[in-house]
Amino acid sequence: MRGFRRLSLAAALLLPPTAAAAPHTPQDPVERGLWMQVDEAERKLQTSDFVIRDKALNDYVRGVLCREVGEEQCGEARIYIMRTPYFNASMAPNGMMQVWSGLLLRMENEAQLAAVLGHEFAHYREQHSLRLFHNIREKTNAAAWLGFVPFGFVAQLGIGMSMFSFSREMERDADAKSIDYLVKGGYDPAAATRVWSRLRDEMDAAAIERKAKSRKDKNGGLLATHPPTAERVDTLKTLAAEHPAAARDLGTDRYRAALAPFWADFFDDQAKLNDFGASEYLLKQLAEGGWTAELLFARGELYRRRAQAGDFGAAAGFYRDAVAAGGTMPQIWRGLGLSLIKNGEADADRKEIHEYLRRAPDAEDRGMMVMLAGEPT
Amino acid sequence: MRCRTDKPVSITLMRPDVDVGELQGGGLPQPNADWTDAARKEITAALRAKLQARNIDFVMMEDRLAETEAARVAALGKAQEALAACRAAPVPLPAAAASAGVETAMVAEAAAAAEVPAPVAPDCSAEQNALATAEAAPDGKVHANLVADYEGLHSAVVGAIIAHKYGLAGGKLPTKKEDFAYTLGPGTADLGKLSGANYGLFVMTYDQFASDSRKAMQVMGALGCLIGACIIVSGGQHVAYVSLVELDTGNIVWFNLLRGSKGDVREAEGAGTMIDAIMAGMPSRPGEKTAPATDLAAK
Amino acid sequence: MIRKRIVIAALIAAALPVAPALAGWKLVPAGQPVAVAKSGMTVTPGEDWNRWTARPIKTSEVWTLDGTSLNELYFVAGLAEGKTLFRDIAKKDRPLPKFSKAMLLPDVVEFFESSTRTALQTSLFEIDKVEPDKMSGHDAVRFAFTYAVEGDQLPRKGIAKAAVVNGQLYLVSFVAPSIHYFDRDAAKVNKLLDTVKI
Repeated sequence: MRGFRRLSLAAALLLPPTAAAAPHTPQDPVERGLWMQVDEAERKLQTSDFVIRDKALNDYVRGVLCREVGEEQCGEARIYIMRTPYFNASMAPNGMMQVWSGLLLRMENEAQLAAVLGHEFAHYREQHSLRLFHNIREKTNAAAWLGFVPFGFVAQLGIGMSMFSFSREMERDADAKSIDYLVKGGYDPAAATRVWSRLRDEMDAAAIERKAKSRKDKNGGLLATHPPTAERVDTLKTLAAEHPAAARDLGTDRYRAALAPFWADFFDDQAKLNDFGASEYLLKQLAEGGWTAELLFARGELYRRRAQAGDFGAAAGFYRDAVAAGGTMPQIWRGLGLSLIKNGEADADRKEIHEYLRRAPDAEDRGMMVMLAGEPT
Repeated sequence: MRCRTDKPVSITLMRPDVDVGELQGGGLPQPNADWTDAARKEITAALRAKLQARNIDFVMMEDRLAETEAARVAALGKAQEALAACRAAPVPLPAAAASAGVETAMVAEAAAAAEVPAPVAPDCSAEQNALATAEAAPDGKVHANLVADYEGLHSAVVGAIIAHKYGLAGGKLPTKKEDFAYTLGPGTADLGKLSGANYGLFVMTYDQFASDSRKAMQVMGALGCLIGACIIVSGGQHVAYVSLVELDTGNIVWFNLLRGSKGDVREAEGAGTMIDAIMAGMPSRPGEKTAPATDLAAK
Repeated sequence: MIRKRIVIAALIAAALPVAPALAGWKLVPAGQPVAVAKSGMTVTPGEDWNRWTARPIKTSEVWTLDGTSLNELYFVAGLAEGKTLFRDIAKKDRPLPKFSKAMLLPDVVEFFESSTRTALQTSLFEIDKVEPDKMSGHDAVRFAFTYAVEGDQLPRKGIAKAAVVNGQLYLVSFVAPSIHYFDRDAAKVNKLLDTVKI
């Protein structure tokens, strides 16, 4: 019934929403209503196929949060790592924290992860979502009233903008607190500015590939309340500079080791989203420590799937490099064979496809590949 | 769908999906935890009273899940204790083991599994098997997944009923004009096994009461009609459905939908009125002699 | 969660005076060849189906037995170079991949996977069996897949058949909940896939 190959076999025991005694309990009816809704959402996560329950990864992420906010406070967070290929993390007022796999793919090191977790934890501690809800409620009431007045639409737009600026204030607040958490945890406070400047770069890379204007200064979409504006990057840089004596731990090696079993899956999720620019940008980042066979294979797949002029030749080169780097995954030969066929330079006997079938005799697409290349001899 | 007359009717109530809040002037629904808790309690109590009055056994799936898990944990603990007690017992005489030919092999096997030399190990194969059985029993997580799977499927089926049978989103389907044939499939028998019931009852209620600012806006909107700019503002929003699933077959044997308020679900009396209204027309107890052998079709 | 919101929205909207829906459903009777998406592609269903009069993209058509949340056949008849498989509703933030007439059949499977993952914003999508087939005498591919959408709590299974003829894509896909519905209807759909003529 639940046929997915889950990323984890070890199911971490998840506490029911009410088990963790958070020091803050909801007070007024508005807050209690919000809690009820997020409790309900968390109840659904208990049986969700999207939650990555691998114990080692969950322990690692929790460990990073605990290091910066302290053992006592980090107990308030119930962390859910979600198999979702976009940049996001959130923390609800009841203590439910979500970290998306797309975020983990994008962080370069432990300090950057700590910056994002600290930012979300600050929202939680300051009860920002509750304040935002109150604010929206007041303003939507006003907006509905204005709907009866001629030209009210313009006024409604104005209120919409002020809701954004209200949430921006809270963003600045959470950014500032995330710097404090980084310093407290002994992490390099400059990691925070780097998270957002790299996201801007990634958005530029995606836009260039799409021949579109970069979305980096846009409101809306996933980043509606988190626009990675230039101002934000500068503010974070200034804040970090106020701690010249802070420790400079980045935890790059620890981060890579913790993510090693996952990055190929997480990157594959990203690569299949038709976003070549961002994918290539992220791949180059992953390869800063050197191009491994796995990374070269992933790059070959990326170019082969883009299928523009010159891409098949480039892809074939990456696949060959992957073999030279000691790669043994059968799919390398599949990709190489398909690229050569598309580039019109395949041998008549299509020996690469045959090599793939020799190495993966039970491949799901065996029948299809035999049709393309004949039975391997 | 004709009811079976050979079995007493018992119903398991799936966790009622209840959402009560207040509609703000701007149209933003504001959830209310106290109202929702009160409504869930009152709706459940009203259902229980109504079904028990018809001599229908009633068990809540949530209670049954908790009981099943508690029983599993207890059985596991007992099996572990029994095995420990057996291992601590004095070593039986080798002759006794040798006399029973079949058991010798089991002793050797059990001993090998325990990595203890055969002659000194007591024969705990029965205890070991009992423990293995207890360990293999599906745990709470498996049952929670089963229930979640069927809650998910049920809401997909209800989506189809509302969209295409009632024609409220997307329009009616020509092939489904005549009869009411919707099913979750015979896999629901697992829910029957888990709950001990032969029918499952799914309940959803959604109530947003109008706040004072919303009410004021309704008046304003109506006034607007007089001067030619009529904006209709809906007041509160009240929607509910119930569906009864025969767990042997998975068929939805009865479904009802209510729109508009039939009573304030936050209070015993209102919840009772609402349940009376929505459960009206639920087929009579199939086993009763007085009940006509009706087809349990949806309205 | 997502579907519940949609259902509730439908119920509430229906309580208000609204314009009648423009699109509706028409019977597709069993046993007769029928042209889909106003194209030269025909199929002969073995049982009655319902056809949606609205078409998600110009060259497409949707059929169902019980409702699209329980079983959905999606026909794409003659998708041209540069077109997307579904409506490109979020083209600024999440543009869908575009069809290329140079695609080999294994590329078509990857195109389907990438289009579906991007449109549904999901990472839980797996291609299962991929096999060669024929569509009206042309080389075709038949494949199976499994996916889930976040917040939906209902894993789904699917099968599809596709061919590229004269530089255009012809594809028929079927999805249904993996509990009960897929297994119940898979044989009917497999038969229907064999009747596709271009």
